[in-house]
Parts: sequence; structure tokens; C-alpha cells
Amino acid sequence: MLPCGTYAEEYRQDKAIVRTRLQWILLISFIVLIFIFPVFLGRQWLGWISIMSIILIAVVGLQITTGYAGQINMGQTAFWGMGSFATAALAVHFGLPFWLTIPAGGIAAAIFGGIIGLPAVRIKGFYLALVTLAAQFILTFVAVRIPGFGGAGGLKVPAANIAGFEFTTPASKYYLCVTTAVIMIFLAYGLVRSRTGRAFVAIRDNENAAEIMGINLLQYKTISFLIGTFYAGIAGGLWAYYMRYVIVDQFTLFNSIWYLGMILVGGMGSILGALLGTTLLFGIDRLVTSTAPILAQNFPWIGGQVWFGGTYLIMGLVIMLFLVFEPRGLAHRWNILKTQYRLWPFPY
Amino acid sequence: MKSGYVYYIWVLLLVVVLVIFPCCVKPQGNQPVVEQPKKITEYYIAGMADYTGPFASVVKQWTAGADASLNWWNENVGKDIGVKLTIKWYDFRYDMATATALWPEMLSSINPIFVFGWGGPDNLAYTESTKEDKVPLISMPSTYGFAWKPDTWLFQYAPTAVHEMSAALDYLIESTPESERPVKVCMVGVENNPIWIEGEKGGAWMAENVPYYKENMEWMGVAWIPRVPVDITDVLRPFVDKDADVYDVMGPVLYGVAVHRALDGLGVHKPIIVTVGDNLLSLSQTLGWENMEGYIEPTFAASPLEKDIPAYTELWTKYHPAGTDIEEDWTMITPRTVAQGLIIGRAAEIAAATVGPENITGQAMYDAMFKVEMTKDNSLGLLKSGAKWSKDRPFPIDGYYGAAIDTVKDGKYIEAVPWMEVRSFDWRPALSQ
Repeated sequence: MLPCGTYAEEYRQDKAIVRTRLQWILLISFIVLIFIFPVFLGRQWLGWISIMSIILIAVVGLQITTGYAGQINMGQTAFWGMGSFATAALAVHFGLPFWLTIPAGGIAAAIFGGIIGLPAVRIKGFYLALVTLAAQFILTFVAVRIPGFGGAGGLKVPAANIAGFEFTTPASKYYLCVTTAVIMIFLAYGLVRSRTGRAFVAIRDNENAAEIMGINLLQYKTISFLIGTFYAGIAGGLWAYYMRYVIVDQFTLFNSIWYLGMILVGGMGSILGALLGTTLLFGIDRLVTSTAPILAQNFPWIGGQVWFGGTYLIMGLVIMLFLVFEPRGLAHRWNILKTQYRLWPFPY
Repeated sequence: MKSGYVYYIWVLLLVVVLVIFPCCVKPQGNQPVVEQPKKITEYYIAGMADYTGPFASVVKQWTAGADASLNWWNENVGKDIGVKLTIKWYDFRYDMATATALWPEMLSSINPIFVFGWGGPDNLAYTESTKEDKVPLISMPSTYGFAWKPDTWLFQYAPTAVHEMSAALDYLIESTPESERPVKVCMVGVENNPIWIEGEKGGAWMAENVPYYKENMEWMGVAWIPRVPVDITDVLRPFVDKDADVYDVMGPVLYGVAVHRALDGLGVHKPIIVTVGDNLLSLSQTLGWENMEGYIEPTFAASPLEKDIPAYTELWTKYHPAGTDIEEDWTMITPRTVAQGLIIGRAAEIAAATVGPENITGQAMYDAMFKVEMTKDNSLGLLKSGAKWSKDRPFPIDGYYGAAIDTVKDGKYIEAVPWMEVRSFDWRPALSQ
């Protein structure tokens, strides 16, 4: 819902993502705030936000495939891994700069995703979930055998650098990750409002109706996988430069499940939902991880396992509560709040 | 007026007497001398623990050994030199990604001077960070092949997992002189996992290139099992059919149990070589001693059954943390984490002597590690061959490592070999194959 008095007189205005002056001010302030964070935030926070930005890119990709196009993907971490390995291999063996290797990693993941996603044309639901699950095992099998991927020992990745400046400090890595995340989210916002995005939603809501309307299911389902896994590949590329070491052990099925949890909590079919869900679950994880050592130290008789195990308990509980009480996720809740604020003092 | 003046003089004299007299009198021999408390500077050690991952079943003994050793060190050494070492545990879930995410948090919250590593994912995650941020790390389990690199800030006091297997095989070969053929060895590993892929390469290399094993051992390869094994009977069947003599099972208790059940299902009973994660005591809780006849446990520190060493009598029994049991929690892991803590303590001692107790940093600890010489005495009987490090490898130099072997005989957990030399061989060429 737009603020009162905001209406479009031209198609260009109607297409714009940012519609009002206040929205522009808030957006620019937010971006400026993000970029001045390193001035007053400690290393711990910079590390957290950097990793969260990388995860966010993968979750936005998953949101496009699963939330918008309705194609369940349980192997997002595998595509992330493929992106990481491709980026690392290109950086190590060909000495290519990061601004080439990261997109190349995205493309490698997209090719992998496109192949895995092909059966989506014929199958859906749980069956598709199982097929995408196979990606996880394919990656583990393939990554240690493809020449150039470093085998079982993995690959040590050189630092990302541009004109001699190396992204090795927490602040520089933060800028690299956050900038990429901002760009990818911006592109995702554009995509979901485009013809392709609308086709995704049509397929998700009713495949038969979409096909009757002239939407090519094969094409759009494959595109949804290509784009979603491209995002995972970009996240993988960033991860390679952030970690400086890529090994197959890093890409576990467990993470793919959490990413699905993130879009469930944030709200399926909403880029904002991906952002909110990632922030909430990642925040809970970090909160428990950082407070558990203190609790374990002060209450040793309870046992560290109780405190540390709390992460999974709380995250599982959060997902469960959202499914029961707010299945449309945080994004929906946010929209309700925004509408209420705009209508106030009137109830509707 | 005059009487008032005299009164003040008397009061002044009384104060002088009361204040000065005690200061002039020397204390008698039987009176305690009140010493000024020494200034203690507290430093943090970041502890890696797997509370919620595959090795959660042994985390209690893991943390208990480390806590006990640092409690002992603080009381018996640290207090005198003005240093206190406090370990803060972090759950890295035996996962490299989690370990990586923890690094900035650890640095900013406790500014550690050392990392009490677990081994495996944390080593990999921190290969670069330890060097860049100048915080050394020491782990207890055997090194993996891919962590065997020169000039690293990672330390271990045990050589590689392949060396660990070799110690157990030496015992097995020597204890079965009647055998007329080389011992057939099967490793059980998790599919596509780097640790076991390295193990496969190392085992094969050892069998082909080390003269003793070339003569006495036949490498049958790796039986690949899923990460969460349920029934692995079919996986082990080919090895059973070819009459494998021993199964090397590096991993958590779950793997040891799966291998035992599969062999049981196939109607054979063969020795299993266990390691830290599936140590005999932990395994016995599920399988029972009577079903574990001949199982072998090589350990790079003193056997947990050797209880007449100061590490047990002076350290563990007196300084074990609350909530732990003196008997039950002294498993194969505990002596090894105690030893790990003592090495950190020894490095802190050297660092304090070099840069002063108030100026210890990660760099000072790293430099001190190359001056550390662990002996049987200063390791309280745990490291009988001692330990000494150089920059060319993460684990001690040749001649400075050995192992104890425990086994199960007649349904009893016994110490088979109190200490034996572990063969030195460099199997790194296998890593490039």
C-alpha cells in the first residue's frame, strides 16, 4: 500500500521501485549507515554482517526459485559449493581477478543448477525436493575428483585484490560482501517485478493456468533454477574469498535446510522476507553461540551441551511458531504494521 | 590551657607508639608473614568444543581434561609467575563454516593468546587466520595429511592419523607372531570425506613404501560408509570375504558401533582400531566389554589405565572440574587434553619469562612454542617421549613421539603396551597423487 496521495502519472513512475521522497531518504540513509558501520563497529560485528550478507545472497536466490517460482530446492548449499570451487579454481590456476571469478562461479553454479533443475519440468513437490537433494551428494562426489578443485585437501584461495589493494582486513571484506549483497538484492527486486518474475508467480500459483496463459513452463522453471543457483554461486564466490580456503566439508546439507527455514520465517515469495528471515535466524544463531559460552562457564553443572544445543531448539521453535501463527512470515507482519501506520488513526 | 597542651602531647606520643612500635618489631619465627598478593594477569584461551556435532558424546571429557590442566597450572605454576589462563569454550559443531564464523567473535570478545583446538575443521578454518591474527592453535588428535604443512601457526603433539594406525598395527603384528601372512588392513571411512581420502592415500603409501609394512601388511583399501551409517553390512562384506584381519575406524562412537554390528551380522569377530572419538571406554557403553575382545586403542599420551602418574594423582583427582567423575571421565581423551593444556601452560611460562607476565601475546606464545620441550616430568608422566616442535611441520620432530596401546582381553580393558616408539615416515608424497 502506498502513502496517501502517491499515484503514478507515467508508466515510468509506476515501474519505479522507490516511489516517494521519504523512501529515497530512508534507503540512502540505510545504505550510508551500512557503509559507515566499520567506523564504529567492532571486528565481531563486521564478521557477522559479512557472513550474513553472503548467506543472504544465497537465501535470496532460494527465494526466487522456491518462494517465487514454487520449485523446492533443498540443495542450495551444493550450488553455493560449486560456485566456491569454480571461483577458487579460476583464481588459483588462472590468476583471474575476483570481479571475474565471482560471476564465473555464479555461472558454474547456474549450469549445475540448470542440469539439476531440468527434472522440475516433469516433477514437483517432494519428488523435486529429493532430486535437488541429490545435488548435495553429487557435489561431494564431484568436488574431490574434478582436477583443479584441489581434491580432498581443497584449495587455498588468494586474497581478492583490485589495483594492488587486498581485501584481507575485516572492514575490507565487509565492504566486498555488503556491496555485492546490495547489488544482488537490488537485481532481485527488479527481477521479481519483471515479466519473468510474474511468470514465476503464475507457475507457483497454478501451473496449468500459467501454461494456458502462454507461459513456457520448461523455460521459466529452468530459468528459476538458473537464477536461484546463480545467486548461490555468487555467494559461494564471496565465501571463497572470505574464507580463503575451500574444501568440500564446508558445504553441508544442514545449511540448505536452514536456508529454507529462513525463507519460511521471513515469508515465502518476498525479497524482504528473505532479508528478514536471514537476519532473524542468523541473529538467533549468533546470539545463542555468543551467550552460551558465558552461560556454560557460569552454570557448569547444567552442562555445555544444554546451552549450545539451545541454538537448534530455539531456531526450530521459531520456525514452528511461524508456521503455526504467521505462515506468511515476517514480511507479511511488516506489511501489516506499515499499512496500520499509514491508515492511522483509521482502522481500515 | 597548660593542662590541655600536656594532654595533646600525651595523645601524640600514644599515636606514635601505636603506629611506629609494631613496625619496628621483627615478626617472631612462628608468626605468619603477610605477603603482598602478587599481581596476576589473566589471559584467555579460546577452546574449540563439539557440543552439538558428531563428537558431542565425548565433549564432556574433552573440556574436563583441559579445564583440569589449566586449573592445576594456574594454582601450581601461574600463581607464582603472575599469570592466569582461562579457557572459554565455543561450540564449533565440528564444522568448518561454524568455526570460521566464530573467529572474529573470539578475537573481539576474549582476545585469546592461544586456541585450544579440536582438530580437523578448526585447523582448516584457521590455517590462515591464526597466522594473520597471530594467535597459535594446538590440537590433540592426529594431524590430517592436508594439515601437514611447514611454517604454520597450527601445532599438534601427535603425528598423523596414518602414524596412529601404524602404532596399532605394530602392536597387532608383534602380538600375533604365529600369523603366517601379512596382516590384512581395511580402513573404514566416510564417503568423499577429505580426512579418509587422505587416510586411504597414506595407508596405501605406507604399505608400499615403508619396508616393515611392505613385509607385514596388506592394504585392502577403504570401506566407504555414509556419514550417518545405519547398516553397513553390504559395505563390509567384500572385505570380510577377503578375510580382512583388522578394521581401522577413525570417527565417532557411531562408526565403531556400525562396524561392530556389521561384522557381527556377517558372523565374524575381528579387531577394530579405534581412536579419540570412538575410544574403547565410550564404545564399551554401547557394545559391552565382552563383545570387544581384541579391540585396539592407540593413544599418543599415557594410557588412561595408567593411574600412578602425577597427571592423574596430582592433577586430575584434585583439579577436575565440577560435574565430572574422577573414574568415569578419565577416558582416553582426558589424558590427551590434559597434556594439551600443559603444553599451553609451558608455552605461557616461557613467554612470561621472555616478555614479562603482563605482556604475553599470541606472537609471544608462538615464539615460545619452539622453545618448549615437553618431558615425561613436566608433562606429569603423560608424554613419555617428550615433545619438541620445529617450523617444518605441525607435530613434534622425529624421535619425540610415541604411543600407548590399550586393548580388551578376556572381556577386560587393559593396558597392552605402556609406551612404544611410533615409526617416523614421511608419507607426504602420497598427498600429491
